[in-house]
Amino acid sequence: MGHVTKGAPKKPTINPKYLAIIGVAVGLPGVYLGKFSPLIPAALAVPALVWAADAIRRIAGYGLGTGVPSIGNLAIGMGVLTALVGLRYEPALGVALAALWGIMYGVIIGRLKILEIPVFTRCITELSVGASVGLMALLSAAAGGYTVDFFQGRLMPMIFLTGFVVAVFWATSMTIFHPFNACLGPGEKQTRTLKLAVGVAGIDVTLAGISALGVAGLNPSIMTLEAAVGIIFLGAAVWIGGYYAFIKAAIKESASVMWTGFPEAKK
Amino acid sequence: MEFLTAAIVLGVFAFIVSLGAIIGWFEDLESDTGSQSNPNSQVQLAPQMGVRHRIYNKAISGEPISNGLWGATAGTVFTVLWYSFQVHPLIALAVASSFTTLVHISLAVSSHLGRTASVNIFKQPLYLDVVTSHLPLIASHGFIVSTALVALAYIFYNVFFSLEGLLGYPMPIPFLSFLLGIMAGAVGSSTGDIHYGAERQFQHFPFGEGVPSKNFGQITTKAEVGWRTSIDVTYFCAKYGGPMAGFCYALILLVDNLRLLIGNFTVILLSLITGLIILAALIGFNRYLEVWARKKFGPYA
Repeated sequence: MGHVTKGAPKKPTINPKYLAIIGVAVGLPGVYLGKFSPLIPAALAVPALVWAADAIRRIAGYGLGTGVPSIGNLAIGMGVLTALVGLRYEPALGVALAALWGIMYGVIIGRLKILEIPVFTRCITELSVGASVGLMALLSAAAGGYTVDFFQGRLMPMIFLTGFVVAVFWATSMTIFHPFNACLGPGEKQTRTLKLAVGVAGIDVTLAGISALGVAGLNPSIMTLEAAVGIIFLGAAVWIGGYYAFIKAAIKESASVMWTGFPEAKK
Repeated sequence: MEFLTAAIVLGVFAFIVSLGAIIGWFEDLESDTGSQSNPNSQVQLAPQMGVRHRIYNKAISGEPISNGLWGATAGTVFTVLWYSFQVHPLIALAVASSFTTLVHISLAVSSHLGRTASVNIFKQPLYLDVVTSHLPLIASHGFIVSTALVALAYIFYNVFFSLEGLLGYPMPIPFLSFLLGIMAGAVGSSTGDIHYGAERQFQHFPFGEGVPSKNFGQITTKAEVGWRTSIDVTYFCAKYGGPMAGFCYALILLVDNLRLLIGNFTVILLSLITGLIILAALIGFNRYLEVWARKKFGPYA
């Protein structure tokens, strides 16, 4: 394998279109299905987050380097505002708003030639929608499922006033940008990055479960203790599974693995 | 104002500042154990320049972001246990920090393994003993950081309600520890990293010449004895970088809370005036320091 020139997009193993379709088609119904059990949105948030991590991978593959965390935070900023609108009125409206915002942002940045990335508009839209869907699903899971009067009755007093939202919010941002930031380099591979994305999404779901545990302790009529513990176990399983697959892949794909030793002397 | 209340306020104030010093100190050493933040780009570049090394590459994210996550995670777990389930604060603190350490270790492992696997075409080997020997150091420093962050947030929150709003902030603990964590990361990145910068990372080049771009990636890989690991860097930074970062964080807490305290004890306008005086004093001192340094060491090369 020769040197990969900086800025050239690498050929993905999994088509991003499929990831996008799975992310929206699974994540958005997950928000609505929360009224049956909060475990459903918690589980269905993972594909949306993995999709957003893949979008970061495509956008930052153009040599963004230190800008990776920044663009992750930008995504989560757009995501959290649209997620709030979505949870207040209608989750589908939140997704539409996120897409609109992403397109607007991409067009403005493209016109002003601030970042000359050909796929910027498309990727930033995907990021915004992915972050919005992921956050809506996780917040829906943490506050006992999306129902009528979810925003005023559950989300605000239980998640925002107690401050539990911070962990979910920031861990979602970490889930979106950490996989690519950790795997950045000329030998980066989509499958390895996405395995890590699943693992970090597990951490995010675990934190949502811990927030749900706090809600269950405060108001058992909103959230049962069993469901909260279920989300924590689900998140831990995804966390361990994703990390197991990632560490195996990283060890297999490293140039050489040894328990100890010294690098060869420089010629 | 009773004498006793004033004494308690000052005592708590001193405790807050000392906790701040611990946070800054350990945060900086934690980030140096793994060359997070500023030195990271050179560590990442080294294999591409043919320099293979035994240095830990902990590219979780920038320091403010990762420390914000430790603060937010520990604060949330703490609040869940302490506020929702009425667990004793000390036990809740220990559990919260332990859980945060698990998250921290996970992200630290994935960044080193991922980055090493991604430079495989430059034949950088993955040394597992580097991972296993650095992780306890990272975890222990991170544990102390998250413990101190949540303890500080808890004190700020509780003191506000018990001391009639003289000190502290009426904010939920997760928000407070999150903001304090971001602040700790910013201090460690701006103050602490100066002491693990060009001179340490390029120690085998002549001192004081800065880093010309022809030397990019040619980092020092040999230590005083044997090959350099990030543990050697931590040992070095524990003398200057860590204490300086702790001093900076403590100074921020001291000066800012002093300003608030003066206003809260008297009239709020005085707090504004104190802030302006402090600002003027800092600008003047920095100007004096720069002029003095230029006179002593000559102009910038």
